[in-house]
Amino acid sequence: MLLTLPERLIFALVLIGCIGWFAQRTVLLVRLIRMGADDPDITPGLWRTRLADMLLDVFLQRKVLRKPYVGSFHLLIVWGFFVFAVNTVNHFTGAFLPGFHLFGDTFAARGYAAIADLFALLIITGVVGMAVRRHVLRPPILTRPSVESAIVFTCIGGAMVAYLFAGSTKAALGILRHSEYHFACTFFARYLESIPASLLRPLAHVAWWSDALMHLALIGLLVIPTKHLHLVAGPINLLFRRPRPRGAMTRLNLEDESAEQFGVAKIEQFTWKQNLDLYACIECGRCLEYCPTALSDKPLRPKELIVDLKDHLIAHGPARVNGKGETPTLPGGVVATDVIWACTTCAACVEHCPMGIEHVDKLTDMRRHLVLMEAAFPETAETAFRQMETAGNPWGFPPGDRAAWAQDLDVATFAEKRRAEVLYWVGCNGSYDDRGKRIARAMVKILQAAGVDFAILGTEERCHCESARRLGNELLYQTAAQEIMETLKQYEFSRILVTCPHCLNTFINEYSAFDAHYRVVHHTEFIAELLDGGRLRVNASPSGRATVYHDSCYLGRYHDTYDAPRRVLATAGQRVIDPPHARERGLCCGAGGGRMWLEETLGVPINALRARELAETGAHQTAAACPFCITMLTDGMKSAHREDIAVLDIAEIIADALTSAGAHGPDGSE
Amino acid sequence: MKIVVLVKRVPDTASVFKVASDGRSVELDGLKFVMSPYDEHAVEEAIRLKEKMGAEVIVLSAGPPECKEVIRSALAMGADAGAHLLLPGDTGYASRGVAEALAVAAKTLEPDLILAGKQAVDDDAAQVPERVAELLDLPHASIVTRLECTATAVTVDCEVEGGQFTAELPLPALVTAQKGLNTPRYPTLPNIMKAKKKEIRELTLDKLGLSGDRLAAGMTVTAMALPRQQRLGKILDGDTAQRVKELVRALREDEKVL
Repeated sequence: MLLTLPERLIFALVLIGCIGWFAQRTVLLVRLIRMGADDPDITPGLWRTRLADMLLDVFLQRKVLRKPYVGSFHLLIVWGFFVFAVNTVNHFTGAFLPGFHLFGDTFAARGYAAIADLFALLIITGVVGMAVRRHVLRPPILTRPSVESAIVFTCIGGAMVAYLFAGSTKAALGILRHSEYHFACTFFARYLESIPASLLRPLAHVAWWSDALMHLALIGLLVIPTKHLHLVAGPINLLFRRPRPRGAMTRLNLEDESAEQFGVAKIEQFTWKQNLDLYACIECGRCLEYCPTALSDKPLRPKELIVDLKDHLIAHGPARVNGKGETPTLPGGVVATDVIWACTTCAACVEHCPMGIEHVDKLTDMRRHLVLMEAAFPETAETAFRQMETAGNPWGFPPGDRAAWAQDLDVATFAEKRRAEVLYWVGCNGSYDDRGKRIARAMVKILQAAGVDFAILGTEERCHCESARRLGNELLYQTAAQEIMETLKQYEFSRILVTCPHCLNTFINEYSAFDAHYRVVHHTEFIAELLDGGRLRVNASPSGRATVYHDSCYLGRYHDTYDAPRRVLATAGQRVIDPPHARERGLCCGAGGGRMWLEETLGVPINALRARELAETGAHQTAAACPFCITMLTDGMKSAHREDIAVLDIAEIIADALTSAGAHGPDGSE
Repeated sequence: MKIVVLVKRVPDTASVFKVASDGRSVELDGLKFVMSPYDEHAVEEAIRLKEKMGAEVIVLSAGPPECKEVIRSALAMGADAGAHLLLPGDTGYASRGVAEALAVAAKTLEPDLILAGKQAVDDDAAQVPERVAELLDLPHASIVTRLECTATAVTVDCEVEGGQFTAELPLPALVTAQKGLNTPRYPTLPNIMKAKKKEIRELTLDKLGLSGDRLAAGMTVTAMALPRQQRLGKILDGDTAQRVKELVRALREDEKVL
């Protein structure tokens, strides 16, 4: 036995003190989370899937490994953490029960000795690798090479060094159990052999204490809390992941007469899950990497938002849970309104966060407060709101002109036909925008060529106000939703066809919260289906124009549709190029989240940034599959002086490539 | 202090209008109705006065039962109560008749100040508020872009062609609002919910001791037609010199403006 009786007594007191303090801090951290509102999106059940998903994310580091360099280092530390949990128990218990080992004196205990030594080295490798990256290489997403992270690295690395130090002094003294398996400890012990025993023994005590205190410090870092808390909060956060689709915003109950608050003005008005998100943040900065606002020098940087909210929760939450005061207002105070209005809801941050943090809904919840409670929003949003409300489209065009684009096209309306296989939802852009009308006409050409039985709603169609919802105007959105669902009820159709990913998200992900379920298909998927089924024939031009494809956020990250558009383009003989930011890493055009209707006055224009990136691929033309993207990128190409690169919808490219043989019947006959 | 605001339910001007089969009225089916935009400025000003100096704001509208929706919008902005004067018939009366009815209705509300939009955007007659003021023998000011109010008088800036003048009117008085007066607020959700519970008094011609026959028509619409709409936009071809030449020719010979 190494420790003397007074040492054991002191350690017992230290341990009791620490446990008391840890418990007190933990209770506070839990109370701060419980202060949050109920989360209607966390439905009971699904626990097996949740647990399995969480374990896979933790042990296989699925998202973390999207960055192989830092991901591998992190993987070493995570696995090492589980390995060393056993060692910590052994170490602490051993102070009082000499020779204690969780695995007893078994083969497992001997094997563990080797594994622990191995992981001590691997963890040190991991920590050095990560520390070098964060503090020396400093990639731009690591905007905070903070003292906090330096302390965390020091404690983890230090704990491992202390472990090796303690083990090797014991080995040198000949009192290390299973010493033949502790290959690292015995290796270092050789360098200690020259030290006289009279000095080695006190050194072993120092080593034991440093090992013990480092472990306590690591636990302390969790509950202070530092960002190290992610180690516990992260897996819990992943376990409580909201099961709803990413694109489904929480439905507000607007009929609730007793409700005094809509949206979020104060930290405790977030749900407990939204606040748990804050604990889970490790400040890795992956949310910044593909974020259009961070990349275009706007004040919104998702990582900073989360860290600011976390600091705010820790600073002001305790007074509130102890009934000693109110928390300050978030929108316009703790979080600047410029930050709140900047978000395009592109979900790049959510997609890439390894800890399952949802950044976007925090911003849209604060927008809800600003719009519904204070009517405080940018002036141009008000114009769009009023026009969506009265004219049923964001520009205020006459509702009666909605079907004017199709006047000469022999397109039936449901009012005339009552039933059709496909309901082609044209959308506001396709109905009114000069550019959008060309896409709608191309879509009709394709539908007619393939002999699809379809009809449109014509003047019965109206804006679904998705962008208003994302700007916080839930009332306008729900009013429109009721009206649209009533209209759709009257007619028979088996699918809704949309040419806009925002329409797609609305019908497929959001209307289910209103108990309206539709089969919805985006035109890129529909065209792929027609091509696959032989209902549509296109000339694959052998020249193979180089076409760069721009992923729309609401088709890609919100709907996981990456391949259909690329396949369709390839079928039409296009040589499809991916820009550096493609697929899950796609960069937003800048128009999502209602930003379409707001002025972009801060930083550099997002659309110009994206257009430049697309142009630099050397492509002859850009293909997209969203009217917002097409509008933004067309303007972006203009401002980048690259008007030579046409921005086309996939429907237009396909309509142009239709074989001159013309219309095919539904069975492929002409 | 009691402020009465006259508001009118009008079709949204973005609508596509058709002449009804009678050839002298507007086809109302399928039109979206809103509060006349100038009336929104009047409502906003009333609510601002209420917030500044304390007042009761009552919104008064005459027309079919659907007018209540417009009154509700004003209540959602922050007005205290509404009064709806039910007028039989779809198209209602011409300005003179409506003014006669509104004057009687407004009088029963005993206002210190009456506010209204400078004109309604449907018939653009710009007559009703001033007629009401004259019938009630009140001083009135039109097309106002600034308003200040004390317990006894109201000072206003009135827009006139190429300038403005400032006038002081003793209360009670009537003032009509022009665009620059203020920016109407977007109603908040709690206020929209509160508005549902606010009282809207039901007034009828009978209750006011008026009979529909006695209201003067003032004028009769005999025919209505849509403005001629022709898109004559033309893009000229050729080099700059040719195009300029063609432009000058077209302006001189086709359009006869040079």
